Amino acid sequence: MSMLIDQLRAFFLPNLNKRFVIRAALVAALAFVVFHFFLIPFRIHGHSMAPTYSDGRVNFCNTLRYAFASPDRYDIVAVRMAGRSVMLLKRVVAVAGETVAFKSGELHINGRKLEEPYINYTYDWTLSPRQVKPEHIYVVGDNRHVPMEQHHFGQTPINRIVGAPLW
Amino acid sequence: MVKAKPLILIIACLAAGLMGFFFFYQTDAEKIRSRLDELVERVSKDESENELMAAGHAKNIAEIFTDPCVLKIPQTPYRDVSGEFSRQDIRAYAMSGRARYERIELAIYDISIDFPDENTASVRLTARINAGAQDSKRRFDEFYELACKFKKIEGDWLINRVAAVEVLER
Repeated sequence: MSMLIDQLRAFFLPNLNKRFVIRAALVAALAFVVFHFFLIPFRIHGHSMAPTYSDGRVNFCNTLRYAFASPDRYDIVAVRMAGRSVMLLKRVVAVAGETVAFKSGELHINGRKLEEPYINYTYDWTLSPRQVKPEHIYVVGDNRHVPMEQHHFGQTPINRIVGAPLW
Repeated sequence: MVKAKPLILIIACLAAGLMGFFFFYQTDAEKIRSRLDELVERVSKDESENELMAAGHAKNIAEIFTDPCVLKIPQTPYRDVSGEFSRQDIRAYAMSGRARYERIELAIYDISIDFPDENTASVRLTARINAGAQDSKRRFDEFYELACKFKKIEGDWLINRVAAVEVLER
């Protein structure tokens, strides 16, 4: 029992010796590198990806996700704006060269209806066909309850993709 | 033999002078960031603002821009803003926008500044406008990526052009 108390005391009230300071500095440096470059913490603001991602939830953007691969259909990606402080979280529905259209609430890729198991309600969006440019992807949010004019979606260059949510 | 006291005094004066110089001297980039901080402060509004204060703020907002300036920002809390505007126009838009919402918050992130020449600055940033009224139907919360151009006129950096960047092209 006294050994347990000693261990707890050592854990919560460590001796501030050189070894501890070096360890703490290394942990801080590692944490900075990991959470600044590889796993960027973010808080979701807004409802465009509801119910898949809810407003207020916290997650991490894995920036290594697309280090050696390109985003693919159905992937959820983080799209940067001027920098990384604000990013848009959207789902990839089409890749370069494909044609995207909405027909009375159905998403059509290259003239065929796309199966979207994450959408389980009806909506009424209609958008004429448009082709995704080279080096671009087409992204849309999962929440299509709102009028189309109020939802931000469209094609964006792949180099704006920062990464993907960790979960 | 060098006397120590005058030498120490000279060194102390030089050090104070250098510190003062670096403390007060602003590079052009810092001046532009200060301008943007001013814009944030002047645009932001809380419920306690009265009409006289609103008029003052609107005038102050307009003075950050050149006359005329070019704005291309869709879907602002005021209306779609696109075209060439005088300071008078900006003042009027600012007044009507402030009358419409009881609370306005402007936040700016990720500022990057480039100087194509010594009197012009290209600035790219992300801006958030969050506005609300007591009747919760009137709420506005949008993020924009903005490409701005600043011009240096008589030593002051003023906003000459603001255009929203289309991050997602429908």
